[in-house]
Amino acid sequence: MEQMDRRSFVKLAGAGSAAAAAAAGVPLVRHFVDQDRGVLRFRASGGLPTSPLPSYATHVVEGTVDLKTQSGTVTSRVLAGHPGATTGIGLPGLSRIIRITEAKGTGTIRLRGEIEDRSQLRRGESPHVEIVLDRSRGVVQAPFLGRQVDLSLA
Amino acid sequence: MADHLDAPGLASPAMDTRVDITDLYAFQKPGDPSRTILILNVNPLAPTHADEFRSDAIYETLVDTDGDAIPNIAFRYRFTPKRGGKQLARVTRAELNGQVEDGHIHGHEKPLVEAAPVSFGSNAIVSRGVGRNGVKFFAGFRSDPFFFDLLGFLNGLQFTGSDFFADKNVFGIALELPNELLGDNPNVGIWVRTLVPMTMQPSHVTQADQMGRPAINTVFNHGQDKNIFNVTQPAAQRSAATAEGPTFLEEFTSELEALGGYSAGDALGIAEILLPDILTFDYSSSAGFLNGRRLQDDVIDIELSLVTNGKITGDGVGPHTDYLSDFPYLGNPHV
Repeated sequence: MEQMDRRSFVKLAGAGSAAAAAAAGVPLVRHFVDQDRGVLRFRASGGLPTSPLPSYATHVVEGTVDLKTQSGTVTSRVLAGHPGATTGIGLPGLSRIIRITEAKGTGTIRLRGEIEDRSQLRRGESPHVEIVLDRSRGVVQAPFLGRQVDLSLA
Repeated sequence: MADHLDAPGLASPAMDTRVDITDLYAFQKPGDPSRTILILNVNPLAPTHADEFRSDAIYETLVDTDGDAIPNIAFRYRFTPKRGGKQLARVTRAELNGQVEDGHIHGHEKPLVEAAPVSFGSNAIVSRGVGRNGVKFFAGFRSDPFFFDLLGFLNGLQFTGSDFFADKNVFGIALELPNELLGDNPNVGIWVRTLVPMTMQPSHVTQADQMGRPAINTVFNHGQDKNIFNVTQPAAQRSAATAEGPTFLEEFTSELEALGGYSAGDALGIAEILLPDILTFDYSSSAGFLNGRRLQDDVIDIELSLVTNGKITGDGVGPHTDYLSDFPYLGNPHV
């Protein structure tokens, strides 16, 4: 049973994550767009490990949030390949779907939410997530294995 | 991670883990110093992305017998298309003279193994060679023998001792052969590569991936340089230019100064050991890495210590317990 779960998870982390995200209502958009209708869409990415170590993988965080209702969904994945040569192959065990429960701010937007499937959590990893989008700097702070890392907005 | 998921082809729309090399091993056969074991693993996270060998690819182990980083012997592994859940392998040995060129297969090949069935199940199907030299061959689905705290590495070297590869599988190619097939000089250099048909000239092949020592490309090369390094022949690796202009030797030296705090002279000395990226192996010795590489050798601990100048001495992860005591030595796959 454990192996079947793992296999399913691998698929979720890889190509299957797109389908999973779609099912969760997450448009996989690439660009940060305006908030005319109070909807925030974003995609941010960064290399792992971070500098000065050479990146082996790419951490991608993307999602859509309704700022009026303070709700939405954000996905977090780690894809094989360094930034600029990222593959569609997700590293198993590192895909998260985050349900947003709070969204505050304008220039800098602070999102809070919860990881939906807590069985995915690693030791020391909290299900409560905070994501900070600093539009002026083009930087998103998001959690990776229990610590905040800086990602660049696409 | 040793070389998993680094092939340039993986970044293309036609990503193909079948030709993505994960690891190379070369070691003296336990209990028999007259024989050598060569292992080439591909297809990380198998069978998630692929459950076969690529039938139009050539998988190759190259051997330098005279220390010039130019191959003198090639062992080539080819596979039939997978039909009815079955695939057959053919192994040849060719003696080469001169540098290998992209697009061409060199040397007159002599068959070593014919029509060897690929193992897709738990039991390892071992085939015998066509001659009287006792060659053994295995190809198929196996437990990934590599061990490393990958998540700790991704998390900025914050290791927790969790082995990411403990339950992962690969497709393995293992060859047992008498030492004389590696040449008379016991001090050889070994590397592996995968070749695939060129898109516009399918009758010609081009290199998809290459590996000598573990984690060299992963740890030392940034960005596009990983892809350049993957297709640069070992003999040219010191002087070849990176995407930014400096040579790989200069980049490796800078990396060692930055990560390990080495003096420029010491960093250059280590970089000259690491390049060309060839697994040096004395087949008369049963010692492990840096002499060849055995399945149980903790190559990451050794390289972490080297790269960080002793600041980090290990990832807290040790060898797997599922290695077989006899050929093909690779453990049964996790299912």
